[in-house]
Amino acid sequence: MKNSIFAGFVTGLCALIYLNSGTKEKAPDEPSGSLEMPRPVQESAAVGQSPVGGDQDPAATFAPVTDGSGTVSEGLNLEIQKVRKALPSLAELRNLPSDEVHGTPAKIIEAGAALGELEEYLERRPEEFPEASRFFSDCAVGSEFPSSIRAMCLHSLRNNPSQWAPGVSAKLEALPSEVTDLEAQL
Amino acid sequence: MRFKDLVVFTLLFAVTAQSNAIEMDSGVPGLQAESLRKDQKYLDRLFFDKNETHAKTKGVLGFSGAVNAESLQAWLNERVALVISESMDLEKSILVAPGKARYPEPKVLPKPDRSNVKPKPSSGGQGGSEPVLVMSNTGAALYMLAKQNQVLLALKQTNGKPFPLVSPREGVIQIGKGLFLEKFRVNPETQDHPANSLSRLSTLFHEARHSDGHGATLGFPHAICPEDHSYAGHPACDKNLNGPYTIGAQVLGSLVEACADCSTKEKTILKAIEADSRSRVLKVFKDPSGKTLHAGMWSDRPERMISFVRDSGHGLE
Repeated sequence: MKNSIFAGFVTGLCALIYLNSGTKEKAPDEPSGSLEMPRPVQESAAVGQSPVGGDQDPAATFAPVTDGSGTVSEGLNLEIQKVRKALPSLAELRNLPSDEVHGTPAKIIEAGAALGELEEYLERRPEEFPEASRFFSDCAVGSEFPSSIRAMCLHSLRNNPSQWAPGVSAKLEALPSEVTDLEAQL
Repeated sequence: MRFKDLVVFTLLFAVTAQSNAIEMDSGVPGLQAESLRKDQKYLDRLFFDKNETHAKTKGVLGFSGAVNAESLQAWLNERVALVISESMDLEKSILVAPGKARYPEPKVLPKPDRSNVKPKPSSGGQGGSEPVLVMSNTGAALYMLAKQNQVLLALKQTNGKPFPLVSPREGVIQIGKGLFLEKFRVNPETQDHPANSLSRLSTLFHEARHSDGHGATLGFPHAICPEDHSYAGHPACDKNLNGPYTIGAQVLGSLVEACADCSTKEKTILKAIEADSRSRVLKVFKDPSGKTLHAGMWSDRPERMISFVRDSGHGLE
């Protein structure tokens, strides 16, 4: 009897794979962030941006870090560059296997860490927030990023509403509800 | 059912019913068991002031009273009874009680969600690396298996004692080394840093929700994420407002607010985890016919085996 039950058990586990929270440790020689399966990103037409392919270089989203007068501190520039490198694209997340996406993927944790370091930098140098706000707004409107990361960037802006650089407010007007709703819950 | 069998079975129920703390199977590696105990002790130390976040947490967890360490622990204890290791060989550890078990709504089980999107398959150990388990609600899966086959299953613990799986609420959670991997740590320096404890607790609350539900909602199953989602095609979303992803996110939000030991960086990482979980809650979705539906709250009423009639002259196989 046990054997027949167990045949069912294997089937049952397959059907119940959603209960499994597995993840994979990356082998040292495995390429990271492989982009061989690009997928189109579906963004609300109301955003008013051209559709961006999921395989586009996320760093290309950002305008150069400058305040227009060309004075951005080296420290802030470094922190922002680190975040840019850490932000995962939708294509990267969509390319993860099933057993890596039940829980929060390491790529999101890495992005959170880089954003956290930027937040700590801005706690020490609050006067630089207006410059950082340009980066946060680029991130929030970046349709090639996952909504969770975009909501995090928007959250940073909302926590400092009086320190936005000129033009940031207008840029955020067309944000899709999936980002604004998510941010409102944080 | 003979009286003797009834007594034996009642005793089995009593063994699990009297326990109100999460038990660690002796097969769980010492350092992992110690970390989980420290996580719970850390939860006990947190102070939860009254605020809007906790009010929402109260709502999704279904508390009548305040959100505090005691009520959160009690919620967990109702849904997680035993923690087992990924090294436990389930095939060898499942015991089948000879006899016939009767379950509520016997033909009603969750329907697998369908999708036209083909995600990248599970790594399945290919490419020279093995999938690593983080955490899994094995008890709910085994209960469904028992229900499908109308039998009573028990799990043979490492110490040899049977653990009857009469309800998903007799929660059996399997943990693996993925739960402690450095790449998933909020603070990579030490496994037992408070911020890492909060992250693991959030995962535990997520998995504990899989111990709830009945019939078609048994186990609060995940849904396939839609085509435009970050996890398109994967069963990594919820079509309700109080499922595992909401629970994990909401509790994490409360824990972060209560965490006086967490740095700004750690809180930002934990917020990113919260945002990731919340992004998986599909408030509006389409049914198979294309009709737009709005997600609601599911009942957390759990299932429990109704009765078991034992074949005479047999013990557990």
